[in-house]
Amino acid sequence: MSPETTSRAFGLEEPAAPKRTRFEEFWRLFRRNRMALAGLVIFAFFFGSAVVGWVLTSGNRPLFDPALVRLQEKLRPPLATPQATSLKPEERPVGGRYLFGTDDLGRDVFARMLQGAWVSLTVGFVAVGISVAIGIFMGGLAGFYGDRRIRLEQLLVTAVLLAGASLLTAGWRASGAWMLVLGHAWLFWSISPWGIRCRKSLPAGLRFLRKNTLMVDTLIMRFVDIMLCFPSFFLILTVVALLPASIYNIMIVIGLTSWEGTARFVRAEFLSLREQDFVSAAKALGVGNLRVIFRHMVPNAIAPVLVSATLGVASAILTEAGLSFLGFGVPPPHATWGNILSDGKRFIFDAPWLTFIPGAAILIVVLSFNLFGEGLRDILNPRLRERQ
Amino acid sequence: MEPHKAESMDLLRIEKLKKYFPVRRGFFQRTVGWVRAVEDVSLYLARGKTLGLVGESGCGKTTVARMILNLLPADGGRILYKGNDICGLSDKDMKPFRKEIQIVFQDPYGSLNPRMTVGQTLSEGLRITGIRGRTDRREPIERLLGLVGMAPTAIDRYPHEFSGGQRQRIGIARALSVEPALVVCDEPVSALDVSIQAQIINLLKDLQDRLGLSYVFISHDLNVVGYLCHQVAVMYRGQIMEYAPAEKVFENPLHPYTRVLLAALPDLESGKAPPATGLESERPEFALTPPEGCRFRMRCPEKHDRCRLLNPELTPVDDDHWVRCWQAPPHSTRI
Amino acid sequence: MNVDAMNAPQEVVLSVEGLRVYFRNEEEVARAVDGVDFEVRRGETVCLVGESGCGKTVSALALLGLLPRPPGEIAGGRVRFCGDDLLDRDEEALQVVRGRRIGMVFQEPLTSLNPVFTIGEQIAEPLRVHLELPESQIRQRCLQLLHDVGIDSPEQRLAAYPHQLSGGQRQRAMIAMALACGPELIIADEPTTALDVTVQAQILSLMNRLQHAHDMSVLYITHDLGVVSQIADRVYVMYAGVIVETGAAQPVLRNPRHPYTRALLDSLPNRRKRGRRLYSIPGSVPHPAYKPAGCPFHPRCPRAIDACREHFPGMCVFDDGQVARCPVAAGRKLTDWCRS
Repeated sequence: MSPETTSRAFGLEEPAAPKRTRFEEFWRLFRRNRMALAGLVIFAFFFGSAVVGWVLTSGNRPLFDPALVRLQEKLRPPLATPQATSLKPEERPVGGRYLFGTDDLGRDVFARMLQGAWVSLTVGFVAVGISVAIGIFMGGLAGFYGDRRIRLEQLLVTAVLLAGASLLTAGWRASGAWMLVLGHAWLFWSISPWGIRCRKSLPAGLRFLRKNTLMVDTLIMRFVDIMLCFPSFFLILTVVALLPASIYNIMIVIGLTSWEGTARFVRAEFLSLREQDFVSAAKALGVGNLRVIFRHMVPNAIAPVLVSATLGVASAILTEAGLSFLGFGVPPPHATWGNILSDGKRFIFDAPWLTFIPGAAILIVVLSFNLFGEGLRDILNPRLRERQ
Repeated sequence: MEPHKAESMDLLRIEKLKKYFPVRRGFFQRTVGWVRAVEDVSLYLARGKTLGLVGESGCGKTTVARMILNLLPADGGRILYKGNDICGLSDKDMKPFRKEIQIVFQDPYGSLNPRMTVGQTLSEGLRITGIRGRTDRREPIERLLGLVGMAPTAIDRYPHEFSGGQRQRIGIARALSVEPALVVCDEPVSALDVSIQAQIINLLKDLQDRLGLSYVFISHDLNVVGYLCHQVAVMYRGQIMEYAPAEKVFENPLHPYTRVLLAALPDLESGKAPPATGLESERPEFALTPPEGCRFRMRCPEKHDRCRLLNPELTPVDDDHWVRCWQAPPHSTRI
Repeated sequence: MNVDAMNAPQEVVLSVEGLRVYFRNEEEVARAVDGVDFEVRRGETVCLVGESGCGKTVSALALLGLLPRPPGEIAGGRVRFCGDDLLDRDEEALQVVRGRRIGMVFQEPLTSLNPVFTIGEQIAEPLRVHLELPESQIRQRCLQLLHDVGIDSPEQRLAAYPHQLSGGQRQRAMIAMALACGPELIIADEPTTALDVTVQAQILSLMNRLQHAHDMSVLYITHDLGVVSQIADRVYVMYAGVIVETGAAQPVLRNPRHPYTRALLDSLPNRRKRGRRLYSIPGSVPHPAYKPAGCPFHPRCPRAIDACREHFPGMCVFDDGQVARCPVAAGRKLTDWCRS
């Protein structure tokens, strides 16, 4: 047989497995997992109502106005029709009923819940977005460049920059600024061609600056360990107490304090991916490090991150609700599920719906995210997959 | 003295290659010892030929492969590719050689990125060679697939849709995408079924004939090596034990380890006979530092007092036959 | 074990008739084992040989009752071990048979040994459970077993954990466990595939020696025809869930009758074939859920004729007692084809 005929005879066969894309395979497994599917449905419903709620409760003359006070209509139970005859037409609820009742100021709880849904959604996603971004960066750094050692000069520059920044914020403007300038000058000098040339012929007395210290991996992972030592909710409480109350601060603080899990996942994935043959093959082809990381490693490391991000959204929503409940969250006129709950607790015997409705909403949404996350984990876990 | 003569013919020359892996223990990851994975390995490979590197698992053959590709820094010795030392080159300096030296891996499942289509995998290499446009790449990709006997419809498929043998073909196509002169094949057929093995071996041979490729063929299977390779180097615990043209290794093995390997080889034509190897004990687990003396002496059926004290050098017994053993006959025609 | 000894009537230890194992999911039924017959007689070594996915391991797991169910199911057939039907037995009764009368050795000794127990504890386990030996004798017996399988300094090894042994030693320990209760049959599933050739040779000769010493039968599952030639008395060649050829090992390997066996042998590389092109079987093994109609090998077979595409071939007996599922090779008429 000549090479040509063999090529023709073997190659044109179709792949042995029936063609099924990754997504189809994923969906097939997902559909089987009823709880995860329920989680997804609830999440879709929550997402839809948060978006719709945002549209309907914002603007100049919203359809549902969460801030509209009708003192004569306070603490009306769910599905009640307005009784006061003095209501202006624009004060009447949509559909003629208070779907979820009213609170102690006569505000429509349904409208407030809609507004709160949007807050929960954005806090959940933005906070997790921040934490995942930091987590992937730190974990990736530890996983890919973990073997490299940090030189003493690098530690010193970082120390000078950090000290400068903290002096600046603490009020010693002049000395802080000077240290920052010094740090930056050192940094730029050391990466300039002149600096690189000097570095090679450093006088003996300064050679200690080039000494290798910790491994990148040790530095990052020990930092993660330290971060995990703080009870994160109290860390958040402290930080939020120092910062002006705003929804953005809350998102950022939650994001900054919850990236450790993601970093660990990503590091573990990177360490195993680094040894994979396709990564070696890419390096052997001469593909650059950045491309290896972003084309070959990140897409393969993303599955467990997705799972932890989903679970992270649930815990971020819960954290935000907790903060709002304690009064450290989003400032009052704006409704969130946490502060509806908090306001309602004073009337828990007279108007139980004020606590029950936001409480149930938080429970259901958090549960749906957890179920969805667990389902994702089961499906994305290749060992469980083989069993199917 | 180096095991080669006509230097200009050599595509690859490895001289006294060395790799020690640190053994780290404890909280601060202190180095407590070294595993001498590769020590004093010297080889050469002529253009268009196949060099077989045989040995049992853990003998350091894969480490040698990774060092040839500079995926792993060597701790000593030289790797001369077309006369240039590529040991310890930075990523940037290595770049021109990346196109020349490529690798094919053992595991057809781990060697392709599961998130990239076959087309994307193959265009990685084409991008390196400077074919930038997406549409420009389509035609060379189809040509590459044709070269390894795959249909062009494979372009938009993902690796999981292919069988092991087909994936191995794609892996070979990826290696060929930068038009290399040297391909390191790290056990390319060990993970495949017998019937698929033959397809891939034939393919490798066809490609060598057609493109003039040189191979470093790493395997534990002497049958495959005996079929495919021109030169054979037998490795044991990081050192070359015997190095000669394939016929000499098989017809006239001079090192006891080579003889043991050949005796253990199942031979369909010899009839039912449980093999007797004459080995004394099994390979002990990789000790941190191998004992003094010959590394094989613990298992050698023909060991001698001298083997305990001194490690023999790789010495020529013939112009092209090198053995690391005290018992080997001396070089008959010394030049 | 020579050919003469084989012709003498021997007691059948294990017989499998028409075994079918299917794996089901919502969309498809994978017929992994599709009507397999074989038998193992006292004192002989039988090899079940085939490529991955041909159903050889699944057959062994099914007859031992170790098949994960679901997704697997035994869709038919009978398995007789020394006259008793194994498929009828409940789990408890099977466990007695498995540990005591049938020993098992698997491919990867590192995963089949429990990492948290010492070798001694693991070998003692079957002795304690099945033989109910007094503690005083157990240690003695363990030492004897380790000595039998050629592990040196057995006293120290008893206290060792699996990771402290080399691959070959682990496999020896596995064999010692399989031997512990003096079984009549050992089922070995690719026991040397993960090992180096020299270690493989040692394990094979060990198994050969033990088999003679204890008068056991061995069912040896492998993909390696070289191993078959070294140890087998009789061989069954499997392809796509069916047996395609059987007979005494040497005649089958020297003069294969089925085109698949022939092709497998031709595609083996070795140094004597240097310079010649290897025969290679085109295409790949069919997915067990999408097997072609007719003879499962016909799309890859160089001798296929039209009838092969339509009719499932029956077993044909050749002159010297060899049996192959290929009427074309046997020169049969079309009427002989359809399986009853």
